[in-house]
Amino acid sequence: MPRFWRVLLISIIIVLVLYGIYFALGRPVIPLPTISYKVSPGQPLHAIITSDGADELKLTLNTSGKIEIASEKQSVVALNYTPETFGNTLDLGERLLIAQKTVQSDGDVPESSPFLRKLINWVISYYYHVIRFRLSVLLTALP
Amino acid sequence: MNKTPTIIKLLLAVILVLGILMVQQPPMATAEIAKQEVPTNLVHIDITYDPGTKSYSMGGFSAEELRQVGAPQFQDEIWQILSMLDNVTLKIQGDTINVLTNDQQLLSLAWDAASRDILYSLLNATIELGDIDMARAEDWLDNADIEITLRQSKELSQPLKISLGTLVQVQVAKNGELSVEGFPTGYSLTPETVELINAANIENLKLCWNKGVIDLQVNGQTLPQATLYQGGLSVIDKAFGLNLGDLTPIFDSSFGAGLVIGEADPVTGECMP
Repeated sequence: MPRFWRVLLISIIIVLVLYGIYFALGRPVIPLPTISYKVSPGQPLHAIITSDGADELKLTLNTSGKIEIASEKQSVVALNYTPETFGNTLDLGERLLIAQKTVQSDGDVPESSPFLRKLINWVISYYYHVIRFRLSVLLTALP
Repeated sequence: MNKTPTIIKLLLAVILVLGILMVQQPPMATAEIAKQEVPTNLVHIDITYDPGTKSYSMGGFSAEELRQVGAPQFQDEIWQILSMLDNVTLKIQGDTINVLTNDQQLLSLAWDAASRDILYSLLNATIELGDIDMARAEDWLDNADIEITLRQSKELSQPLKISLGTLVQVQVAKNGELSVEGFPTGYSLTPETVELINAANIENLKLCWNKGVIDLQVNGQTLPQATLYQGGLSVIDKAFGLNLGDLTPIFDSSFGAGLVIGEADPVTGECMP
């Protein structure tokens, strides 16, 4: 067998074994490094971040189906989704957007793209069912 | 045996093992789901009053908070009657209504389906109830657990307890007028909002609130479940200066509403915690 195919096969086997271990462990959420963002006074978010005295607000996206906003002291709001409910939200948002444009009668009604919708749904389902990540954005209020 | 078949055999073995792992269903509870009870509409309202200052507190809200939301003030005649009582409790539970004054039973009335029919007939003679209204009244009153307590005290009343299994039916007429259970509220949606809702083809909406957890369905399609935290909401309250006050009674309650736009069919189902 040529060297190229052997390397490819071994790589596939390694990937499959690693995923097998990940799957057997119950597909735990893989945390990604937190992205920090400083918010200056005067920006709309500044008032919210500083309102409970913690001066921090963390937005966490857990692709296993949870989006959470929490300050340093307490959780503020959480959203639990499935690919189906996420798709329903996109449907509703799209319909409202088209309706708004129609009502405003500015002649620029956005067209829905079935390909884009399928791609978004596929990405959401992939990161919900296959590999799960946790992405956090930490907003810190500048004095 | 050369190396090539060995690698292929190994690959096939790994794929087979992983395949078995993949098709393996996650462990699921096999116990049968407990049979859900018929939804009960539980409403417990505690009212404390002080004839000296002619003020009252209801459901955990102070006299000042009630004044801010436009709660009515009682006339002197009513205060005279209240000053003669220490406490009065009205309980509607199961098939009976009990009224207690100063912890002594004052009266007990039958509250079964037959007695409610008599009540509807009496009401029908004066305000002309339709069949739909009577059916809705039965939805609300069958399996109701209602307790209203009036206590002469200067202390703040106990927080409101509301747990409604029956959906509150809200209807938006074509002109935007809002009615609740068939009663006009005097509030209307703006023509722009009605036009937007119609253009988006939104026919109905089901909203369930259960102690901070919000479940929403639009045209029967379920949206992500949202959880509002009481402490977290105070952050938004402070940030935007909303002055929402003490939200404990709301966060201790559960209820749901079915909103229908235009002539669409009423929203069915319950909000079960």
